[in-house]
Amino acid sequence: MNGGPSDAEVIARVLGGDTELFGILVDRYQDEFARYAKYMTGSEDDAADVIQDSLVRAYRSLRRCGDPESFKGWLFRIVSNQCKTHLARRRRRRLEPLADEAEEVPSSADPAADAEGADLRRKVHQALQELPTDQREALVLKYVEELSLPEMARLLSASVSALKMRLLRGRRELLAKLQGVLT
Amino acid sequence: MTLEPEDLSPEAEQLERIMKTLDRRPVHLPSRVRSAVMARVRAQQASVWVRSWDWLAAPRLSPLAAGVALAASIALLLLIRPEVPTGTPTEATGSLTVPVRLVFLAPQARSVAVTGDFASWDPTGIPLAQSQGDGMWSVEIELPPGLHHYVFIVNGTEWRPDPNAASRVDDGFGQQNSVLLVPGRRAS
Repeated sequence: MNGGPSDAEVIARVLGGDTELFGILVDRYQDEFARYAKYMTGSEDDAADVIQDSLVRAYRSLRRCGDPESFKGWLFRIVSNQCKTHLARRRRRRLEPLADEAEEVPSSADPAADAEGADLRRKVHQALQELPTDQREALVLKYVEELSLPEMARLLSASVSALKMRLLRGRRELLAKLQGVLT
Repeated sequence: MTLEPEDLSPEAEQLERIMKTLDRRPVHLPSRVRSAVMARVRAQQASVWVRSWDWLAAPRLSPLAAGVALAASIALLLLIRPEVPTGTPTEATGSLTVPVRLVFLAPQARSVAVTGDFASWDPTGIPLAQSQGDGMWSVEIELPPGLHHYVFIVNGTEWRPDPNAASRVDDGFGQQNSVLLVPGRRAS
């Protein structure tokens, strides 16, 4: 964090009645977890909904944040949980996950390579969406968010050995789903 | 990214190459997200004030009834006082908490946990266990006397209110939290 009041200072002020200061926490974290939410839910629109609900839930529960200095980790767990709730609701409604990932990467001077790359990205993205939620979460945190195993363990309140197992299973399932795609 | 020993396997290296094709640019959410969050935060704040004002302004008791209620409150405080001394209950020896057994029937569930204000709404919650494999999940926890809001978490993701709870409150997201009243221990 660069300058400005700490999370704990902001939380103390918000709890003291300065509600508008909650906007500082919104500005600080809404994009921070957006990429994770996008890969968990499958689309930026769903990620926006999840982040919005998570931040409001965090505000409502702010008094219950045990350690304001660890607000970021606490908020991440709310976001993670909201992603899973969102996916569970979507499964109940039998809606397919969206896959809008492939079209967004900037183009290069080689349109053929771009098209091939976009196709692979779309297939990887789709295969990722088909994994069990906990495996997808582990792969996203490691390969997209580039977190270390101890960092993941802290965020997810899981043991390093359990996360290694999730990653191992996730890798195998993902590679199996992409068998026909990879040469 | 930190490399672990298992990252060096051919399988892991292949996956590493594949995952590098994914877009890792930061995602910037539209400004409407911030606006919506702050609007809901302000609405929440406003509703708290409105409810408080309504409660204060509402005529509820006749002067006689108010006097009786005041006398009853004082008597109640005097009765409770020896049991709830000043200080932080969690720092005491444990006599200021009450064992509470929470039970949830979910035969199809793979896991059940409970979270609430007493668990800082930790989304992983406190796990319940099945004693007979009959779908009856339970846990005994120590709670301080007072009102507690909680929900059960089924299979790690689904938040469900307790069907056996005496009452429920809206959680502000179209779902409900269960309400538990933990009475104080009786003086022995």
